[in-house]
Amino acid sequence: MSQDIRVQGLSRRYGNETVVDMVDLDLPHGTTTALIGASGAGKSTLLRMIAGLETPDAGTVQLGPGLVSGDGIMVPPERRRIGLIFQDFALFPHLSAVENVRFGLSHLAKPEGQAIAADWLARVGLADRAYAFPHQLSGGEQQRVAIARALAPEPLAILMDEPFSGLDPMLRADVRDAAMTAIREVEIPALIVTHDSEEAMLIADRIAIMHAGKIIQIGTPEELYSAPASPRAASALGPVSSVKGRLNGRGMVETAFGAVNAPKDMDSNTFQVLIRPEAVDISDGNAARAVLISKRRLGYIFQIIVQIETESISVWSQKPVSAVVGETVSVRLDEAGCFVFPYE
Amino acid sequence: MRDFLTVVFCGAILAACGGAETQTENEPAGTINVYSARHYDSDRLMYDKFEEQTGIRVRFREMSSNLLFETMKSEGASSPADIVIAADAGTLWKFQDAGLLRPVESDVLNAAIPEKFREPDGHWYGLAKRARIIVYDPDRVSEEQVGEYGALADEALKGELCMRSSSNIYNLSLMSELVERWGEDEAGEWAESVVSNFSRDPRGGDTTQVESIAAGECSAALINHYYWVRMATSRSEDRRAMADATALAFPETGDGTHVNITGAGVAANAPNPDAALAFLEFLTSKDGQELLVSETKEFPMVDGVKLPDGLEELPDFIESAVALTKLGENQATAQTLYDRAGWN
Amino acid sequence: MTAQAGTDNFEEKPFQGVPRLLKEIVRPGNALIALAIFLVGLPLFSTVLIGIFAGGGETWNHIIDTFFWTYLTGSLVVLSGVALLILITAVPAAWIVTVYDFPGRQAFSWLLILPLAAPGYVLAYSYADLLGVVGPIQTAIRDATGLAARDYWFPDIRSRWGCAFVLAAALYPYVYLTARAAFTSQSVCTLEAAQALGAAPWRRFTQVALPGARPAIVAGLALALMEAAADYGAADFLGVQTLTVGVFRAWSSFSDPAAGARLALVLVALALTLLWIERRRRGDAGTQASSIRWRTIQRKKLGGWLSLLAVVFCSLIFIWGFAAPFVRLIWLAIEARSSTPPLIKPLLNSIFLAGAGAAAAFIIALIFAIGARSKSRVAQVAKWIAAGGYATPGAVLALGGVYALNLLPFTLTGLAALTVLVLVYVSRFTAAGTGPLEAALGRAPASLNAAARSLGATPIQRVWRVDLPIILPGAAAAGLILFVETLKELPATLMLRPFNLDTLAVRAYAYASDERLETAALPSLVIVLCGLLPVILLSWRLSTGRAGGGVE
Repeated sequence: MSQDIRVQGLSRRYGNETVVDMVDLDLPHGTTTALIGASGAGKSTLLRMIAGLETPDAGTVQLGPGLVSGDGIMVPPERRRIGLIFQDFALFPHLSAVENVRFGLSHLAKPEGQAIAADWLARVGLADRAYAFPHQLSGGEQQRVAIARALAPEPLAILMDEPFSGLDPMLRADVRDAAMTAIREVEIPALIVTHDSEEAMLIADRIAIMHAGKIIQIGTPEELYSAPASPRAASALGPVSSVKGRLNGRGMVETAFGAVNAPKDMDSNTFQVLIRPEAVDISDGNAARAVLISKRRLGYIFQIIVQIETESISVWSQKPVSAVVGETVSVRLDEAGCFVFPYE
Repeated sequence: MRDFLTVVFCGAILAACGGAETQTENEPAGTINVYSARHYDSDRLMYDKFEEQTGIRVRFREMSSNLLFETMKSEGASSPADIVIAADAGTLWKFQDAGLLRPVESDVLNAAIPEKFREPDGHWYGLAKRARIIVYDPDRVSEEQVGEYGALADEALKGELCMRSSSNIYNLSLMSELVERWGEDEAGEWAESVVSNFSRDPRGGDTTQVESIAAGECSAALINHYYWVRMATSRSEDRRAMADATALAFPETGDGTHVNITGAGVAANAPNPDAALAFLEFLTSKDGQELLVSETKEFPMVDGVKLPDGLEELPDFIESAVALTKLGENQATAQTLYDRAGWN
Repeated sequence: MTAQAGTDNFEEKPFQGVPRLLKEIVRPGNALIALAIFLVGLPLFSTVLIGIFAGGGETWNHIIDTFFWTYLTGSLVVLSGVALLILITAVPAAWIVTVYDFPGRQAFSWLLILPLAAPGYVLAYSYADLLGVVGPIQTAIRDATGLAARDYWFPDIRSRWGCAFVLAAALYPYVYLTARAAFTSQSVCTLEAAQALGAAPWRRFTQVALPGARPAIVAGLALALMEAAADYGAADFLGVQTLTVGVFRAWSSFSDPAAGARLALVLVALALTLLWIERRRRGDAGTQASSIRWRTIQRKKLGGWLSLLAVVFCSLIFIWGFAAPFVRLIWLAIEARSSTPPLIKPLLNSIFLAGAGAAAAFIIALIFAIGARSKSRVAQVAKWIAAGGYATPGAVLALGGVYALNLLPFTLTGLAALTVLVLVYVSRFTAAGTGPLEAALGRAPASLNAAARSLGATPIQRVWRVDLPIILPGAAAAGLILFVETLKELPATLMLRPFNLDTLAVRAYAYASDERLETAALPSLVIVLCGLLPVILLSWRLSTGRAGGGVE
């Protein structure tokens, strides 16, 4: 029953602009893939092409064994059985919650459809709001209805376009948990477009980073976070500070804040070193001396900015720092959170 | 193109109001199309009566004589009009002058209608009579002061006269007759003197002048008799009171009272001229005459016909002997004299 | 620009919420839009062309020599009067009901819209009687003072200013509505900010609210003035010489429609200027329409004599625009009970004609509204043509229709006349339908269509189960507006209606011009009543704001 989605060489142009450029992507069943990237990276267009809402200029989309886009085939979305969830919920305003969920069950007899719809509403925690109309529901409730509606017809895959960004932060986690639980249960391929990297790491099994129409890196959240393939990929999953580095005699890359191992096959002398804020240790030992520029408590961590000469980096420390602003502190880099790339 | 237009719109119209009445270009035999400048509900009874007596169906189009004239002209030879009914000989003359009427001979009509009330060649026939008379406030002026048209020029009436616009056909026809009676110069001087006696600028219709006198705005005005009769026989107490407060003067000296007609002629391109003539003859019958004047309060053309309510009370008067054809012929001169006198 | 580029969508832009099926019908021909443009533009363009190329000659010279200045100054005085009266009534009224609370505020808020139901000529009939020399007011003055009519001065309703007074009464709701909407949408935050900065109420009104609402007010005023310039019935009845009356007369009295067409050029230029102002202002106004609406204004409660003042002010406007003329018509109709005219047939004819006109205009408006979503150039042209037709007086369009007919080998009879009349209705009123229809289509955002597709709905199911139910209320409102506008239309109906086809408007006009005002009262009343139903419906929808507005 459960099928994978396979995307190969998918491309889409608007006029002269290539919005999606030769994208390959596998969406195995039972896994959730998050697609992240800046606005205009082509995320939504890719999603819409998989859904069948847009026709690719080149490439193929395979759903299980069958081709649904490409090679002259274009299965319309209504025959793909792919569930969709939108940022604006897209509930039918003239239908009650339960009628919305039943919309995709019109092939069933009414009592049967009604029962399934009611069951799905219960699963997303809305059993008592079945007869409310969309405008009577809160944003979170509306999105729950939308999730039930998308899953009720037993789709072969589910695609979500910024599904939670219309919700306020308090509701967001609740709705997200409810949605992801429901989706995991049915073991179908799920694709979620988001611009929130934390959200992606939280819910996705795999993350694909998209930039300028291409997928620049794909992998598990851990892989992507700890081994980004490019500066762009590094900054896509979390904040980094960038400093200059130079190859020293011992085969290490030397920065103002300390030395890190040089990558193996690199024939450059100058490097860009990206440092995650948690990979910096502020200590007393014989490390680099930096000036404390600012320090602030952000809940359980301290956000600190330190500077050496003209370069400054951001540091998250769990330990309080006793030095006051303007004083000098020692700084040591943790190799695991530093990424070295040739200087561009 | 034209077929297409027709198809598009007929389609839209028929779709919207399936089966509502539409006209075909080919008239069924036994139908006449009446172009009438009258708007009286009693005319419908008159048409029904004719249909009842002859089996000829009457279709009518009612609009102001100016619009009738333009419509007939634009329709040209394919005009469906069989008969034209208009108030005022000047208007009928205009139709005749433009070649829109045809001469017809009928012993019935000649017997029923006095010679001066029909066009010599039979282009049109007078069917009902209307007298343009002087209405006055008996408390402020005596009957002698307003006993004839010429008296209105008297300086003694300075500030006492109310008039309607000179472009109105009733005033034009009266002036046309006065030109015939007195010659252009004298008629022009009369107009200037009347204007110098105005109590206010020309305004409203004939009824407005009676109202103005009743309200004390002025003391005398020119009106067609039936406007006053309608007030005098109104269901409204206020309007009867206005008629009671005023008196009528039918000019007797000079050439008597200016009499105009409601008349009709057979259209030049009448599709059904025989039926049209039959209709004309019906209008001079007792039934036709009674219905023609019952609501308008005009004088019937034919003697012995029952007078509508309110006419018995009017005095006998001397009808002017000026030929009705002059009213149209002198119309342009009349307007020029009015304009020169500053009578708007 | 190709259709392709017009319908493409970039990622971050909202996808078009057009029913796909309908869009697919439209796309094969922008040709369909082009045809609709042709139909809508035909009467206007033929008038303009005739006016330019055939409008000279003797009659034209005569008109220039004798009447032109009268017509022009007549129109200008009437328009200035209308503008002035509307600004000093509608704008303060909109402000008062938006930001203050006083007894009857809720009722006034929609009662003040009711004059939209009554055409200008009906108000003219009523006011000519009310304020005439034997009307109740002047009679009361005479009874009270013992004077005669010549002894005192009373404003003449049958004058240019009288005409402005009457037309302003009929048209102020255009500005009242736009001003109220502007005040409502902008005032929440800016006004509170102004209040926090210590601005007194008067200053908040003149320096914050008014400048902010000015584009909307000017746009509404431009609409009202277009209608005022298009009026024939009221000006004709009151004996006021305006350009529109002149156009009609050039045809009906001078037998020279070409001269009328040339005169109409002045009107068309005037109308297009107003249209340009309205469009430009509406563009400006659009920038602030985005503010969030669900914060209702905290209305300040007026106390004591201020509250009384507000009630009196709103009452006076309501009496002026609706109550007084409406009650007087009822009184006249009762007084004339003996001569109650047969109205069933004219009523049916009105419904038939208005139904046909509204249906045709609705179809064209729908084509335009759907086309407008594609942002193609053709659709932009369509919008302007429709707006141009809306701004042009019915008499002018009818003239063009007559000419178009003459070019084709047709005469003004039967089906051809009916067709042309419907064409003129379409030309005149399509724009009144496109706005509400676009709004209705906007209620169905693209994601709904995509959602329905992903749930397996076929194109026909999508139209049937999603698009239609969603746009139906808005579409019904559009249809209703078109129906009432067509029902009230006078000059074109007068010029083009076929045999045996008297409408209520035509009968009312005929009785009134026959000096039988009391007989004209009943058909006039029926017109007003027909118009009241949709106006009340619309005003209720507008006043209750977000009722049913689920997708915003």
